[in-house]
Amino acid sequence: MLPLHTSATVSDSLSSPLLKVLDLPEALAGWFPFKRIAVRVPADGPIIDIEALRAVGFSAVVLDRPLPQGERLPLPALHSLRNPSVVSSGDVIRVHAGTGQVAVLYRRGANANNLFVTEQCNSKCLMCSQPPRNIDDRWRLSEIFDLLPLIDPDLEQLGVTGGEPTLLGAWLPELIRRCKSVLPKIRLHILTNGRNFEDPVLADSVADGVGVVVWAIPLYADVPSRHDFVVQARGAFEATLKGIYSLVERGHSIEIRFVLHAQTVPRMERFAEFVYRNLPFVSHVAFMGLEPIGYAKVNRASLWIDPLDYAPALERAAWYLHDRGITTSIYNVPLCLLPRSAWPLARQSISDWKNVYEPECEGCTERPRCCGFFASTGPAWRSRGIKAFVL
Amino acid sequence: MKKRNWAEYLKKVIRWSAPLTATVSSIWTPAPAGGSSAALPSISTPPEKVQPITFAVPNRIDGPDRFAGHSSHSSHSSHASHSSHSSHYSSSSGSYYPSTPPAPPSPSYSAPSPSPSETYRPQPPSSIPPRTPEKAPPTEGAVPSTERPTQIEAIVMTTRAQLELERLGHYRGPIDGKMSAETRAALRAFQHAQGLTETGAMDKATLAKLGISY
Repeated sequence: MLPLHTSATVSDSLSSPLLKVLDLPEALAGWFPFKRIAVRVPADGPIIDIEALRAVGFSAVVLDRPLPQGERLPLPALHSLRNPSVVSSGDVIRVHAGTGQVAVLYRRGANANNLFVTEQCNSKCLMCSQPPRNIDDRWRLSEIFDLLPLIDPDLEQLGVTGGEPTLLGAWLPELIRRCKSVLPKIRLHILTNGRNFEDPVLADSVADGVGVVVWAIPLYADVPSRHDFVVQARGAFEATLKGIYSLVERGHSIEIRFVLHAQTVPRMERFAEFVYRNLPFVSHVAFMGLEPIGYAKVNRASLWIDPLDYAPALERAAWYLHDRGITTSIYNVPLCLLPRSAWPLARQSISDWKNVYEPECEGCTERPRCCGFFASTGPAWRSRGIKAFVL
Repeated sequence: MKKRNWAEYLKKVIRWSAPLTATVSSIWTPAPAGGSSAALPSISTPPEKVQPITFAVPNRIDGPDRFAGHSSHSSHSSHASHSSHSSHYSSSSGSYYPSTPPAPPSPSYSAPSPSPSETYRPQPPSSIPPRTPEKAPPTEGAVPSTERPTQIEAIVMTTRAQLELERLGHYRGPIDGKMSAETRAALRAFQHAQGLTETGAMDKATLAKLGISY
């Protein structure tokens, strides 16, 4: 697990909080604006004249040695990182000059990069990993617009998450357009509850996303009562279904996400049949293990079920859909908890910044193919079935 | 049905295709006179001098030779004009963010209202945060220009050359973007090693051999 945050000492005030971290040869190649670049100056490399970097117009330097008290460089320096491996070449970081907080907004080569667009949401799911807050956080969107030109332009996958992205209203299509224009190869994976697409006008407005966006929409049951209960919003089931139809009508591609916990698994197989009968056009169905964080922690009593106990039903539901031509995946459930027949559908999925393995996993031969565990998995969420496969 | 003798068949196939392979090899390999006995360089004997791999970049060979004449020994203090350039961001207002925040996503979605006429209509963003003019780094990107390089372009190119020369072991001095005597000596050493004209300058051929494109 490589976290996305660390702290550092910043020697001077920075001209911009968002910086592209690059080694000098790449920084000089002119692919990114000099004034947005923090140049890495490794101690074991050749001696680099910081004054020359200032003359060229670079914004800052990142040192891997502490800067002695009283030593002043011609450029603001970021040094003494608490966890130096968090920041590497190609990343885009946000530096809070006052506190020295460093957040990685884009990590080169990561298995997942996400744009977090808003904390607001119109649902309140029992197991929400990112509890919504009703605050004005439009600054996030300005920051994202600022971030996009610093992302490696050949990036192919980018997630958009929240909160509920459709609450951006007219800014959502604008975001899609900007992603497309700066990142020509991009495929966007946008997590939304889809409810607002019930409105044909909003559905029309994201036309630029056709062929570029996969709308990842959660559906937790085959009946309204259960789904509405899980998302804690009356009428959500109907609105979500209308939203899905409304998007599909306009040529969009849809992924259905089903989070596995005690409130959803009893209807899982009927859910699978419901999807096959009513939403056979979806491009992907994802069954996802629960991330024990956020609201899930508070609602553990009503959510916890040992994955070992739902695994047989999960295997049937997943293959039911897959056999009927709908690509189906199982995420976030370690292989030792799944019957072997379900393994072909299990994906190694958890974002590398929150992925860990248990001590038991030491020596397991299947580890390279296994998703492992969320870093947040505490003892209360441990399955009784965790074991290592040994030769 | 008669059982086929596959071994015999295979021999036939090889016989048919043999002339073809001969033709192909004569096209694709500049015919080593001895035919099949093309002598592969033996792997065991090391070359007397190890050559670092250098990728030659097609450096707009027909383009202008912009950096050959660059001979700035000057210190960077003469580039004071650039400091105003680099402070472009901070000088604006202290605040980095665009002064106009995105327009509120007007009546934010709450409960869908029953009447379709009253539902929220997404409006085109009325004030898009000004897109920062990022497109033109001081090197003017890849646009070949016949003009003399600007001071910044010259520093950038000299620094890039120094980095490559250092990597290849020809340069030991500081990476400072200055066309110092040491840098020229390193360029000459590199040009000598590559069999180029020893000019001690960043001409096109040398930059191309260093893998630097502009």
